[in-house]
Amino acid sequence: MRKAYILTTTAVAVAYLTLLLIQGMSEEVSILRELAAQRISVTRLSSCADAITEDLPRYLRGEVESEVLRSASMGILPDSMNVGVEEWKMASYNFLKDQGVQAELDMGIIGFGRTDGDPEGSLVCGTSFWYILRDAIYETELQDQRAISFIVPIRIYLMSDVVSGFRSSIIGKVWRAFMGNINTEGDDIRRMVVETIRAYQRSCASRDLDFGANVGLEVDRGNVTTTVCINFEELWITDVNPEAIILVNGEPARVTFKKERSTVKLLFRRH
Amino acid sequence: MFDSIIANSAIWILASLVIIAPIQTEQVSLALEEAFAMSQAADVLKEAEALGYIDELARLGGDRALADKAISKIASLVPPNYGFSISWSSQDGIIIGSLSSGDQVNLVHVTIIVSTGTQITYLSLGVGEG
Repeated sequence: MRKAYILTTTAVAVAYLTLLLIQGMSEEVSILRELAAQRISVTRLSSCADAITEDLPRYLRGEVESEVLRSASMGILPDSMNVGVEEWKMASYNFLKDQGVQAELDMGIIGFGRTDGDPEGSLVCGTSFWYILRDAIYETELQDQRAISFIVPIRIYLMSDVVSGFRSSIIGKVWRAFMGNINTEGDDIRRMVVETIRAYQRSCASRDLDFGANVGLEVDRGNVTTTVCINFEELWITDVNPEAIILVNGEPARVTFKKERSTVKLLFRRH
Repeated sequence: MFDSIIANSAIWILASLVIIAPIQTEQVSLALEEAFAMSQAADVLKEAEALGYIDELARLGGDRALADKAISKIASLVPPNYGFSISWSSQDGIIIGSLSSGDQVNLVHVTIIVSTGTQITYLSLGVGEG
């Protein structure tokens, strides 16, 4: 009887001890596994955060380049309101969902500005980006706010300035010539226009810009008034700087700022 | 008799531990290996981004012929003795380019989003020891 009692008690004690040891070991192992899983979760969140913050400027750059190309072809400056990120946001939400990450993405207003330094008169794009990424399983969360700013090295503002400057220069020269002498010959004016175009071409070539213009003149002399019509038939400027290449449908392209045909009429009265 | 009981008990406890311990440690080691492989894959993609390889890939605009060259550059950043698999695909799941080497078992994948100007694509890198 005593022997059986000792054996039973020992068996229970040994079983209890074994259970305690295994339980302790399991707890330790569970903690380690939990730590490893949390590390995976944090790595995944951080990798997703890096992916979207690196890709947003890449996407935006493509959109801004398209807007620069579109506006330049119309002879106007680019408008940031025409740049959208909805497609990218939707794709990012889907991408993050596939990674098992819940996300809140938000962006500030996209702004365009002119570069202060090199490349002179290029476009600088800026915006801000907020995100919250959550791993629902491990309840880890990552949130941050980033300022995004990049330069599109196409000298769109400079090209616009050159075109405006050329128009003003031609109009100013014609105006001064007829104000000085209302009988100024049309050929003299045409020669002056050609010289001005060449001067602009030389100046632009030295700055890696390809400038071209086709300006017509009509002089109508009356008894009291002389009317001069300056027809800006063609007026274009292309940035040929090696950096100023953009991709259009995967193909490299250059941006040409092309002003639409316009006519300026000047009226001079004899005194 | 007491000596025999003590010896038997010790053997029983030790046997239990010997059987259970490797199973438990194996699970932990797998989880840690997975965590490490994932951080390796994330580091490779981060380095590729810093070196401009991802931008280079994006500027190809989905050109399959040139994709392999750019993907090889990214693959060169994977530590030696690691099996890897790189897959570049469109949103529809169409593979634009891919490259793999070494043991393809137990690869841990990290995927990033890559906008190319013509489409939005995904680049997935799987890394595993061996």
